[in-house]
Amino acid sequence: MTQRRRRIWTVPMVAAGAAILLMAADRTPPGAEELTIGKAAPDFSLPATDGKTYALADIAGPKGTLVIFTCNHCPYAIAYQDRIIALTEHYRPLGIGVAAISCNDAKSYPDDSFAKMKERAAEKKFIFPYLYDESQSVALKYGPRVTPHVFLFDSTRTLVYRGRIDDSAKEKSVKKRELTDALEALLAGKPIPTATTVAFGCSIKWKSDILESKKQ
Amino acid sequence: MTTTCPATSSQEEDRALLAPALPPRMASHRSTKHGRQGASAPCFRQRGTAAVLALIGLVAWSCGGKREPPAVSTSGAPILTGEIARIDSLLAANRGKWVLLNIWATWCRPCVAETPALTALAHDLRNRPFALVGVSLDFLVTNAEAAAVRKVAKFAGEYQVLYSNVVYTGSADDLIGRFSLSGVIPTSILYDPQGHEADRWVGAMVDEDLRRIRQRIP
Repeated sequence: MTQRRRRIWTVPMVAAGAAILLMAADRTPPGAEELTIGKAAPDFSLPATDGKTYALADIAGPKGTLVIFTCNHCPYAIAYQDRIIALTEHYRPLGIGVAAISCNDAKSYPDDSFAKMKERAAEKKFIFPYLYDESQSVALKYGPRVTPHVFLFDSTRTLVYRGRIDDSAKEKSVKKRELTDALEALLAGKPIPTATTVAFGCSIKWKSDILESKKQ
Repeated sequence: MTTTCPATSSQEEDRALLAPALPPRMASHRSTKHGRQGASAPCFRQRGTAAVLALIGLVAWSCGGKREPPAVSTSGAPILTGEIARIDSLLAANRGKWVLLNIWATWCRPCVAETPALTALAHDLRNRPFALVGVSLDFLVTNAEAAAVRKVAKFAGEYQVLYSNVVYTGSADDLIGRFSLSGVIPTSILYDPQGHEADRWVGAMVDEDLRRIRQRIP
């Protein structure tokens, strides 16, 4: 019986040891603080799945700019793909620029590679630039915690809303649409009803060297 | 080579909610690392543990006042469903012990990665005043509750999870509000025997975190 027990528990023990070694890579770098309301939009220059390179100025709309950190692999992010397309269809003609950025470490999450991003953009017919922040330098400036995580800037590129798109990954269960409310308020020149919400989803997959450098 | 436990009559009643067999991955672990094992040893152990844990699950279930019975994974771990009240009733049922509440999902890879370490922790502290309670968020991304339960039960069997799990069926807002979540999973919260939060980890736990827990539990 003792031998049986030992055999049974050896597998989880060995796996635990291996898992512990891998775990450290999933912590948030202490420097990656979420951009606070009132801050200016950090600039960037990133390649997109359409073959072009986009700077913030190329994305920005005359009335505002929506930057969405998302990715390919996360079920939460996948659940929001169609909603991001719909938001772009509706708000871009009204003067809101939209871009999606994927910043996950593709070495540990191959589904988030640039090649896979191109496939997803083509398959889902993304109508917004899908940018690849391979170095994660842009993510460090914006400080997304999860995918999807949105940052809405006004016409002066000042942050007016950050957090989630709405309150449920299941579209039929949505009761609160804070991003839409913020967009409507922004376009109407009214105060944003709720400026910050907790974005829920899959954690950003930081590269181990970024986590290591931040520890020092 | 797969190792299966023939279903008993009571297991058959809940067949729809049970993982049908240990999946090939775990079976291959056994065959490659430890030589071939017959079905009887793991099945005997699983059934014994399953009976005890199912009983614990049923007690927690009856305390929670929920109508539907819990599912049980092949590892013996009770798989409950419910909203905040169900989680709270499970926490209350474990008052007097240290409780590690682990909020996770099968679709969350860091969560999956830390599961063996949590299972080992639960095993190591099994005779101490300690309980591990999992809260799965699988239902947050699907409309099919039964499918989410099946997925969690299958996962629990595959990873030999022996602690209770609640497949959360409430809203993200309620969960964020109740446990002051940052939005990142896994999040693990350690409660002292009085039910007060003693520690919290956002993101997968590392060996130092687990060592800290082991040191705290008398």
